[in-house]
Amino acid sequence: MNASVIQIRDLVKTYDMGATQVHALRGLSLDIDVNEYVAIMGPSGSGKSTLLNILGCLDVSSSGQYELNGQQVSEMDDDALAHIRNREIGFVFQTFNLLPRSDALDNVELPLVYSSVPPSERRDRAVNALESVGLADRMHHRPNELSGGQRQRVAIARALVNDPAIILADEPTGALDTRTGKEIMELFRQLHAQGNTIILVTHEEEIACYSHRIVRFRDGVVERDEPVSPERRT
Amino acid sequence: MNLRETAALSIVGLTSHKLRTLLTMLGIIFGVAAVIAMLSIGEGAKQESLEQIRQMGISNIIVQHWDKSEDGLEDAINSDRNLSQGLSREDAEAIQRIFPLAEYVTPQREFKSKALAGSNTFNTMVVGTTPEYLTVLNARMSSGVFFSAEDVTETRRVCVLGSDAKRALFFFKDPIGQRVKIRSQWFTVIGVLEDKGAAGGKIGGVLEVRNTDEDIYVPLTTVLRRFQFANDEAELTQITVKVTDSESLSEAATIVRAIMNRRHRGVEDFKIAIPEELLRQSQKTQQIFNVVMGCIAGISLLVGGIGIMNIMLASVLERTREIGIRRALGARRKDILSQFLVESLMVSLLGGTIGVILGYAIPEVITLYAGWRTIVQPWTIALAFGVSAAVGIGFGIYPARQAALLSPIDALRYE
Ligand SMILES: Nc1ncnc2c1ncn2[C@@H]1O[C@H](COP(=O)(O)OP(=O)(O)O)[C@@H](O)[C@H]1O
Ligand SMILES: [Mg+2]
Repeated sequence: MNASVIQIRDLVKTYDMGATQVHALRGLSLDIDVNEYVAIMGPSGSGKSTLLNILGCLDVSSSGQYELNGQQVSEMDDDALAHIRNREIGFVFQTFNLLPRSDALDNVELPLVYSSVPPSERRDRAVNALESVGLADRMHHRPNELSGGQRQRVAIARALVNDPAIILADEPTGALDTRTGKEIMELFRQLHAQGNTIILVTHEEEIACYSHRIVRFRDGVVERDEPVSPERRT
Repeated sequence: MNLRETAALSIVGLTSHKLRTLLTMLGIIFGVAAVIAMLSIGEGAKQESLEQIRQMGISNIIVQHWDKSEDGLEDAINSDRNLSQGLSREDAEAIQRIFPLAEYVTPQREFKSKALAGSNTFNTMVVGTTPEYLTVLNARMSSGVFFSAEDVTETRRVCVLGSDAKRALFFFKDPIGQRVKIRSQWFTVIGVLEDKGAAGGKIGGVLEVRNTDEDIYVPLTTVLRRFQFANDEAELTQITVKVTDSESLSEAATIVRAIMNRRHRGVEDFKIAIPEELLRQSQKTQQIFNVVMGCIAGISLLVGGIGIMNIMLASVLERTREIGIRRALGARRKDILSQFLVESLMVSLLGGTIGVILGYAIPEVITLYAGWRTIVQPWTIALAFGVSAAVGIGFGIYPARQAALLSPIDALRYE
């Protein structure tokens, strides 16, 4: 039996919109083990991004428990959350979220800047991360000088550079064409093979089939949770 | 992220918006330049009047002949003439006799004249006086001697040169024993005074002070005997009273005034001035000047600070996504706070630096064109930097806090 890295119990997220309340998560529970590769699917507005943001410590839940590696995240202060974002989780966004005025290398170095890695070491690690996503020849290009797929590779290199155990990706192929999307998914496959835990949000069945387990959401709760049989896997 | 990196980061931020950065700094630049320039003008004026006053002697009372025709009071003159003959040696003797606190009483007869030595001429003030004047003036000899009591009683034609007069007439030659011609009379130079380095002017709007380094001193008796003056001119132009107890200068002045009034039958053909009082007066004026200028400079620094705050708030809004990205990658609140705070600090310190340079240049230009003395004091520069830093932090803290308090997800979602 594998140990759980992520344990979620009765997670609720309610957005207070003044007159109305939006219930994005309605008491959601989920366990994810070390080195699992999970795809989260579901219709638009079912709370996938909301969950991923909470898992990534970008947002906090309204109630419920979130345990990460045995630590209660729900009780942490802002600095501790920043530390988790920095060291334990790599986040990949649909829209890349790169700093437009910095080149690829500087973008990838950014997490190291906030973890007191000495500048010389930073450079080496950022170069390695960019090489591992196949962008050794684009180090000094700015985001607007890169294609969508290349930008997402930079973003993945950035998510990897601090060696986090968990990679979260919210529709990482959503802004890319099918072929480029597949290249990106190959990268995730490698990462999983290297021992990372991967949680990926997507609405494309094809993409979800890269994973080993599909969790389907509906209206803020888990509707279905099933493994992907080896025959179906891409 | 350490401070050096934060600073490097904000330099990148600032240089990517050069014009905006410059405009943001303008308020600080002018505020700081104004502070330094004002203070240096004030200090220059203060030093100047201090020197002028010191040159008159801080424990002196000065009785000056008051030529009313200069002040446009022609009518008063003729009637006064019948009652009083103006300042005289008897006045000086009377003060010396009656007034116990007088240490020295020196009569002076001054007149403008051209002085000649060889082929050099110099427009000078000839001062006929007594040997005590050297002490009263607080002056020292740079060479030779001052004339003696015997020179006065013998009405000898000897003279002592002020340093500027010496330089104009003899350059670097030794003038002792040389002869100087004043209005067809020849005088032998027996001494030269040390440079006092003061410029002329009018203190407190009352007392004329000239550059005494340009004077030539001769025995009073010689002046009165050798030179022809108009009949209606007073015998003396000034009586200087050095008081033993400098604590009671104003009481002493009252007594001197009483003595003079009695002797002149109430005619006000003299003015009494106390340099020490003028000093205090000018210090008071100085203070008022400083307060007014301080307020003006303070207001422009305030405006500068508001300018910084405005731009920083706009910059926080504009860079909300960047803040979100940094926070998502592990930046703590205090990292974001220091990033924006250091940025506003850099703007204000850079503005302060340019302001200091400008604040240095403005007084130079003023000195060049208006001839005012200006002195930039080192502490005003320290003050300017201190104030700039305070403005940068004071007005930068609010926008920086706004940036730091954003939640990562809100910042990332910001459009
Ligand atoms: N910041 C927000 N404020 C208000 N409502 C929100 C906010 N973010 C998400 N929601 C709502 O929460 C629900 C779940 O959203 P989300 O998690 O983004 O769905 P998805 O599964 O499409 O990623 C939606 O109804 C959405 O409108
Ligand atoms: Mg979504």
